[in-house]
Amino acid sequence: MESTLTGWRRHAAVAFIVVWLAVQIAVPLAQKLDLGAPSSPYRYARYSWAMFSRLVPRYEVRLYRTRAGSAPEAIPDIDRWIHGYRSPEPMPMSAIYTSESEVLGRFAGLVTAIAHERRDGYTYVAAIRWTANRPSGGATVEVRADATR
Amino acid sequence: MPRGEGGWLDPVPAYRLATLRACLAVVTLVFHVPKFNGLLDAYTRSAFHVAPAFAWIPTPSRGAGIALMVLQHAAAWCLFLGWAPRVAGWLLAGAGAYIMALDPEHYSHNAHFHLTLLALIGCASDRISLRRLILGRDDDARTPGWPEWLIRAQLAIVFFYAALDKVLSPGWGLTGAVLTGPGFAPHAPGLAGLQQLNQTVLGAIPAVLSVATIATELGLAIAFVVPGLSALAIALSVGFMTYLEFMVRPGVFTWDVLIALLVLSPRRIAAGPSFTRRPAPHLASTGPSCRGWTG
Repeated sequence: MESTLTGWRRHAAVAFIVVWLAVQIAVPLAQKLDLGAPSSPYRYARYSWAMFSRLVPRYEVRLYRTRAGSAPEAIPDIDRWIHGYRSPEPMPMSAIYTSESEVLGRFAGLVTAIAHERRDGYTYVAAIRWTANRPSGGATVEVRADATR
Repeated sequence: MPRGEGGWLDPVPAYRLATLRACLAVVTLVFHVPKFNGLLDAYTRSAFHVAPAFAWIPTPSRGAGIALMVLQHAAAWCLFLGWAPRVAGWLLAGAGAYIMALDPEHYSHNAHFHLTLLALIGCASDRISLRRLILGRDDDARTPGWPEWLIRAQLAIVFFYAALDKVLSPGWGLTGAVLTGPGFAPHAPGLAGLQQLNQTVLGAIPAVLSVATIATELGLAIAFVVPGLSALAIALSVGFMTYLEFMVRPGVFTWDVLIALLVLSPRRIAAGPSFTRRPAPHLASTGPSCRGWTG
């Protein structure tokens, strides 16, 4: 077995080591300190080795549809849209690796996509209630999308 | 690395990386593949997806998802058996990175660390199959040592940044606010009493324990890369990881770190896991240190 590196293999190994270490050192630092931002504040971020660094934000989300004045109804085939999701009962979730804006963006995108496809006159709603460790104030946020015919 | 083991590109005994690979494959088969195949299964059954990390990343069809799930299983078994291990390691690392990039909710620090280990073990060129490792036919095998060094460096980087995060985080630092949060769910049978005691202590002196945690992680980061501190790194890692696993929260991170410690093992222990091993002629000068696990 070839155990001693010579020639191009040696150069390739050195190049790989340098690139690997540079990426592994630079990426977490940039993520953690948000180096692209003007004030470079610390932030909790993915790809930054921030294990156990914050209390996990938890929330419940309730997905339903409604027509003016009517009670909330279940969204048909919600499992087809996102496998495992339920409607209209609340689903407990955590935002351990996602930001508050990413959570809102996910559900805004979901109800918008459903409304866009169905066009049945209903309003599709995602009601998000933060139950623990919400990064900002307030407890409940609703995102709505009208499914205009 | 212990004194006298040479530089990054010098050859080292091959069984360390081969043993690490077999252990990493077991963790991959038990924890990683089921989790990531589950993520992929749910993803490809869903009609709605958030934007992936990069716009150019293709969204897998159901068929492609199933193929990737099968491929991950096959690669994990190949890694375990030592069949085309470099291809298997990189395939698992690449597939995992792809799945993680599909949706932010697929990310976890534990999985991220596991993928880095898979990529680094994919760099090992020891060519020792599991069968050869078990039968002890690897005594004379040597392999370039730089993947071992990179694993050590990776461990140091992870613990350094974990410590830095705790220094900067408002939940740690001199307050230890995270430690006074809601209790961790009981786990591991028979340890409920100890876990309760741990919770009480954490709540009583969070600032002290916050600083102690930061100091431990910084100490580990240094010990992983400073020659001569390998024994300290092993002892501190085993204690810290065992505490996290059984007193705080179970996770694949503990097992990955413990497995990675194999690259720090002294020559006399790491001279071979085989029960039938005999000292290789070129290592015989190190005497009793080559007698293997059962020496």
